[in-house]
Amino acid sequence: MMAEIGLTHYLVVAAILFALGVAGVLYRRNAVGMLIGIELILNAANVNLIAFARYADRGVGVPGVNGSAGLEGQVFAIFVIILAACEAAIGLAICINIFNKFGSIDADRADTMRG
Amino acid sequence: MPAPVLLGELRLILPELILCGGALFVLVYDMFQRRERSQRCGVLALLIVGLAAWDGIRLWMVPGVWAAAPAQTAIFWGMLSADPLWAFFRLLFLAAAGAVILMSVFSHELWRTRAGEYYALLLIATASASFAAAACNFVMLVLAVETLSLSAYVLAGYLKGERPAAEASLKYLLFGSVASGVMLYGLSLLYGLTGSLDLASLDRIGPENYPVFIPVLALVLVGLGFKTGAAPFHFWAPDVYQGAPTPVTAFLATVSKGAGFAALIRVVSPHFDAGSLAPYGMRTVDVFATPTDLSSLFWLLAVLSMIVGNFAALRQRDIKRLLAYSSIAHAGYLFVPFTAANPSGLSAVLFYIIVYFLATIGVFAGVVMIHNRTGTFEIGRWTGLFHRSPVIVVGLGVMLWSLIGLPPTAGFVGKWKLFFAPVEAAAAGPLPLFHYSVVFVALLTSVVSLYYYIGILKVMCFSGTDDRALRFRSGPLERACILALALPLILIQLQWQPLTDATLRALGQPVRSASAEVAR
Repeated sequence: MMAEIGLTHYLVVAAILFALGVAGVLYRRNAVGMLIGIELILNAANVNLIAFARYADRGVGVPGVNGSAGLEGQVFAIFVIILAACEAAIGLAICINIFNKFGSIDADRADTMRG
Repeated sequence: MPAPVLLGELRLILPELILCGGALFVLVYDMFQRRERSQRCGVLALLIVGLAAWDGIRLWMVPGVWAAAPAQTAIFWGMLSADPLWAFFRLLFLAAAGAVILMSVFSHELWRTRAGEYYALLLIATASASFAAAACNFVMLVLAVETLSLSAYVLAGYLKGERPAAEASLKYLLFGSVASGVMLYGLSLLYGLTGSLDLASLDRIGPENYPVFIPVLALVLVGLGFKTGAAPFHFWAPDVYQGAPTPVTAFLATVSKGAGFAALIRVVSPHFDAGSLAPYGMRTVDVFATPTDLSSLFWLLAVLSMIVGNFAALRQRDIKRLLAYSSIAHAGYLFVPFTAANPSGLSAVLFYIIVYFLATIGVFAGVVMIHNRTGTFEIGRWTGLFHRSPVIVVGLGVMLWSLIGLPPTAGFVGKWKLFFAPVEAAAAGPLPLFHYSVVFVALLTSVVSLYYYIGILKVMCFSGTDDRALRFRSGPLERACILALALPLILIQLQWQPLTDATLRALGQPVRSASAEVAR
């Protein structure tokens, strides 16, 4: 017998994505790799938002609050996708500039200011 | 069915519309200009900010605009809250943006660059800072804060040809994106807890949810803590402040930081009236007598920022790096009343933000002037400046004096108000040790800050004029600018009641009479 996929499963997936994203940012030295980590973090938030929006009317969260707000979470997720796109665009532009100046996109190489 | 957007609601965001439209106009205008005339965009941007400020003043003055109940001030389907707090921050941000644009026009750092995009981004960043101060829905809050951040990443790296600028923009982008990603993850969990993205929905949290709720709110605080530049989310600040063009640094130290505090006030202010952050957590008195709620998170932010900022500033030789640590320390001071969570603390925050803006803009204006003539940010090479241009040094002295918080300047009044809030809470509440400890750290670190601020003055005044000394004589315009920024700091110390009244009005609190204030 197969168990139904519920809210918990989505939350766990999102938590794993979030942890992977944070680990990626912390342990990658390549600036583009770090940007990918950031994308994972943002998508973890998206999975959460969509899952909560879907299950909001089934009595999750604070007791007594029923989710007329299901749409709100989905709309927020769309905005987060837009933000992720903007961030990627600006991030890659900055990476190109870093490559021009430092000859590599290794974030550790671009660490000259001290004090 | 939601009500249609009324034209009256558009009227309430007219200053922001002017800024956004102005940004587009500057972009198009710059397209038809030759490269050497590109700097005219600065004058245009200044006019746009002036126009927006004129309308902002009208919105601040007209009493009929503000409805009585908070529910009635919500416009655009509960996205923005058109209340005096917004009008207050909008005027503050517009004034600071005007000063930053003026700085950019005169700064030699930016002369060789194409200016259209620079001023357009500055205008958009100002508009989004203003929206961040008005947001009463988390979607709006995130969008406003992110638009501000994204513009700031580009502005920080605007001097494309220089390695420090490229490095600054990369670091700012990486730290900022991670912080906002963590905040978004926290917000998504918060949405699951409350079932709504309305800021007001935070009230629905019951005691049974506190163990989940406080960590979730801590995640949200990461994002806002990053914007305010508070420790332990401060690692970007020194490098970005140093690498970015000086006017952009001034923008980050004032408008961007102010937007972070404005958003934070939006999130927590409804609960300041109750005299505690009680709805945000339970106050269990344990052995160390600390509350396990949001105010203990603020305690941590305040104490860490004050200690890290002030002690790290001691060994800085670059003026912009020093000011970065100083701004971290000031974020810490501004967090002090958040630990007390009483209404007078909130008005103290607003008061100190004004004072901090004035002094910081002034110091950065001075840095731009000195850098224009000498080409150096190294404090050690500012020797004997006093003999060349005493007016600049005296003006800078007043501002640094105010940042320290010593008596004949506004900084003293501001800090006194800030640190008085926890004392009040200690007298009233069950946790005196918790409140007194933060005041103790604040006073101690203020004494530490005395050392490095006075160090700058010492170099400028008392070091001899050797052959490395500056060939620098200030012009009349520069002297006028510095004095125009220094004088208010003295005047506020002489008569601070109007400013206090303005902060009370912004918070919708009853304006106290002048005699009651003196009696306190």
